[in-house]
Amino acid sequence: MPFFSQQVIYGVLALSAALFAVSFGLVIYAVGRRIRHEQDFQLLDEFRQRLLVLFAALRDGTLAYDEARAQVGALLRPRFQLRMEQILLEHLSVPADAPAIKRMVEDLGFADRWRQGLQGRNGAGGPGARRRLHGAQFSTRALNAENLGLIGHRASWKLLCQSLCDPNLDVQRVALRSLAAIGEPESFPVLVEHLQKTVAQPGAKLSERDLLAALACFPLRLCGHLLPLLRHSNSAFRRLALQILVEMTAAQEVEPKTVYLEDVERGDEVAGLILSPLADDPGAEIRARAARVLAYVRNERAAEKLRRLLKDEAWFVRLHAVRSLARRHDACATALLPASLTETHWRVREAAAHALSQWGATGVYQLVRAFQSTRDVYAREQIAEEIETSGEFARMLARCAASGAGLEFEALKGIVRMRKPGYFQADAKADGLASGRAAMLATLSASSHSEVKEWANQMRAQ
Amino acid sequence: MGHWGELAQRGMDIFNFLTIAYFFAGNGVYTILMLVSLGSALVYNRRLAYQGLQELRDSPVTPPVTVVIPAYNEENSILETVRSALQSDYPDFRVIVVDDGSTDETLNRLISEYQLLRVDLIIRSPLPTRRLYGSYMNPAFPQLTVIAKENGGKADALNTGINFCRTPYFCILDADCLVEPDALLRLMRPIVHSPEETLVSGGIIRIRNGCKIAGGRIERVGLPPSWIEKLQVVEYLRGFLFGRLGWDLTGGTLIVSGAMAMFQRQRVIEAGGFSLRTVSEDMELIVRLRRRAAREKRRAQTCFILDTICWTECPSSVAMLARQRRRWQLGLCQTLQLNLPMFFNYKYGSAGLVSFPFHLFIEGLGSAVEFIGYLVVPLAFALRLALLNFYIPLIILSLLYASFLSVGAVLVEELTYRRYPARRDFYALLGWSVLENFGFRQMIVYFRFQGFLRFLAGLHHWEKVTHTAGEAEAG
Repeated sequence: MPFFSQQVIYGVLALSAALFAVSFGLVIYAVGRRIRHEQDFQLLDEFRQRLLVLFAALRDGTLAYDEARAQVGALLRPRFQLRMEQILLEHLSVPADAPAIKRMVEDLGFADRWRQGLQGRNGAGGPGARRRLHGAQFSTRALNAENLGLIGHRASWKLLCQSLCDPNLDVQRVALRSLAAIGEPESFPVLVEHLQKTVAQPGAKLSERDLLAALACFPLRLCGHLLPLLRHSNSAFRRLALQILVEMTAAQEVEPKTVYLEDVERGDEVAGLILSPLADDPGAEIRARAARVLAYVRNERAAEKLRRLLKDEAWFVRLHAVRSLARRHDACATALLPASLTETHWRVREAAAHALSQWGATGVYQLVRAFQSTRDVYAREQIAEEIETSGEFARMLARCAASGAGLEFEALKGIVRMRKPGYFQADAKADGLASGRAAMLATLSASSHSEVKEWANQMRAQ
Repeated sequence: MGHWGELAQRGMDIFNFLTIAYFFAGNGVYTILMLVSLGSALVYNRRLAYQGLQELRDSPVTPPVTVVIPAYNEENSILETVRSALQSDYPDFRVIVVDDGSTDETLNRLISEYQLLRVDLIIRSPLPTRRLYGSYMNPAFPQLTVIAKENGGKADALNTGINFCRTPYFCILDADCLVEPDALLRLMRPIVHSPEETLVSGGIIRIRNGCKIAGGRIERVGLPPSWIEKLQVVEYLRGFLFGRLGWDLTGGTLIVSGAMAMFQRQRVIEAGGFSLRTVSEDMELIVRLRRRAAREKRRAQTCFILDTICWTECPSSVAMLARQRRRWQLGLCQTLQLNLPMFFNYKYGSAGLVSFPFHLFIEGLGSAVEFIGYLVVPLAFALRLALLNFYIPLIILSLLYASFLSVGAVLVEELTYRRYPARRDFYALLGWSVLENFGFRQMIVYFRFQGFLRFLAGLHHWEKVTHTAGEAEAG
């Protein structure tokens, strides 16, 4: 036997035996673990069921809060502390239960333990060394930060701000999220400062988007804290501050046109800065964001600025100006937006057409008028596409059948002459869409207006 | 022993040495990947408690996404797939289905299910594609657009979808997959959280055969009835739970399953879209995006998340399995060939220095080496060139090692996800993970070897895998 092979055989056999033993051991461990876990899950399910009954009784008023708290306390098991806490917090999604849970976690000492755990001084794992190890684990710190955010623990905002400097990224991220959830106004300037540091430090761990998402959750009345950034010589800071404003306004706008910068503290100052110099900033990215924020500026100069931004050299600035006008939906927007239908960049044309169709009857009228008046083929294509995709074509047919000839009827015929929409064409049968066409022609034929009827007959004859 | 006999014996010694070296190199890497993945999966599991999906869902900063579903003759599964995609829990998304010239009822089923009307979307094509036949929408389902086009392959269909996509990110989804409700959020999470650019974000794909499906959702997870499907469940566990995760941790990801993955639209357009030159367009694009980022000295990452994002249908017959594996192997070899400059190139970091050589030698050439081994060793026994007392222990070790890796994958699943709730399924998985190495593995090697031969022969065509289970399951 060659020397090489002889030496290897023993190694191979030894390794085989070891592998067999390890595999067997792992299988035994996994089976045992599964059996144990099944028992654990059963216990946790029972806890979940008991909580359901308990909170239902609390809501009905058949159980007093103190009694409920005592019962929850009695149900808790140290070994399952973390999981049971999570199950309890799941009930926060039921708005009626939320106040009781928030009070309960305070009264049962959970909140204090989470605070201590966030500082790395405590853990729920058990006594001695295991407890210390648990406390040092980043996942426990992060979970504690998460829990404090879930219950909106206002008193913990300073602690959470400190956790933004935790060595672990998870803890930083969760602390940031929790600060946003708590929404303590005093934490806003701290976060803005943190954002500045993040932008200034290359290779920072927290992403800009994380910080933006957190800052956007704060009320718009805190926008005055962004003034130093809006005035900053570094364009990255100006861009970010504007982005925060864009997100804050968009996030807090429940109904159209309910949010204006001028209505909040120091909002005038912010609006002034946006009107000048930010809307004229040399950076196109900044002008684009300024255009977006102009949607939330009531000042008359905003309209003039938007008119100028619609002629900006950068297409995406024009796009944002169009979106801004779409949101404003005022006299200025009504006057300016149709002009963007003949834009050179298709994204701007598309946004303008979409914005108008979203305005309802007035917008559709603008679209129809623009379709009839322009000779720009691209603009007509875009309008026709919007009328089709928004489902407006069928409604236009119905209106024409009811009211007879007019601008809308002419536009309708124009669209059909462009062989659109596909389902209205004679060859629609080939696509299995004949029923749609037939239904529409029937609508037209039923019209009391002769010219509409005649056209329907012509269409049918094709 | 004569001169020729000595020469043959010397040759056999060299073969033995290479066999041992190859065996330990390949399995050594797999073992390291498994250990790393196990640790990582356990940590990841702890982090799930504070993952913050709710915040991502509510955040105004979360970017909109388009799901692009290429479909070719998928009449059995397309409705469930589209339904599951439309039910996604994501703040702002659209779904574009690209019917790639299906010859079956794929398009008609979509039209009839969603009462679609033919609309005339303006064609703007940053990426060249085959001719479009038409587009279909229904204002009542504003999130859904269906595009019908001339048959041009999956890559061409995906490029068509990208052309109609208006969002900064898009997610590709196979037409036989069911999306997990929060899959888009999970895929977007690393993109939002990372200060670096993310080239692609992918996750774990699981097999839906054997699961109870209703309304586009997996209601109950279970094992499929046939042995061939069960063995693929084990394979998928091994491939995703420590293959891809391990590479992701080392920064060497070259493959993210094309069944579902999220990309940045503009970057993909700049890179020229999905390539028609390979049958493994997803892998090729990822490698190309990585090369491009390295060339432009951009810091960019690929993300593999440890969450299940979708459930795919695996082949239920040997013939279909053979097609699938030949295609995968062919695509792998084509991609490696197209990107050979990455080989041992330090500019690409661990992807060039470790991952690419591993994929070339172990994944690319491995099937050929293993298949030739299956032929040479018995021949050597017959000619008395190989020693039984050397090769028998080696064969036992190789089977044990393969079983160890498969059992390891099932254990990683058990220690972390536990997606198979029935204890009976868990025991069955353990059993099949051992049995996999007796016949099934050798069969797969044979199919892969066929794929390798097709690559050498310059064959390029896509072998369609047809599914039959979708309808039955849906019921």
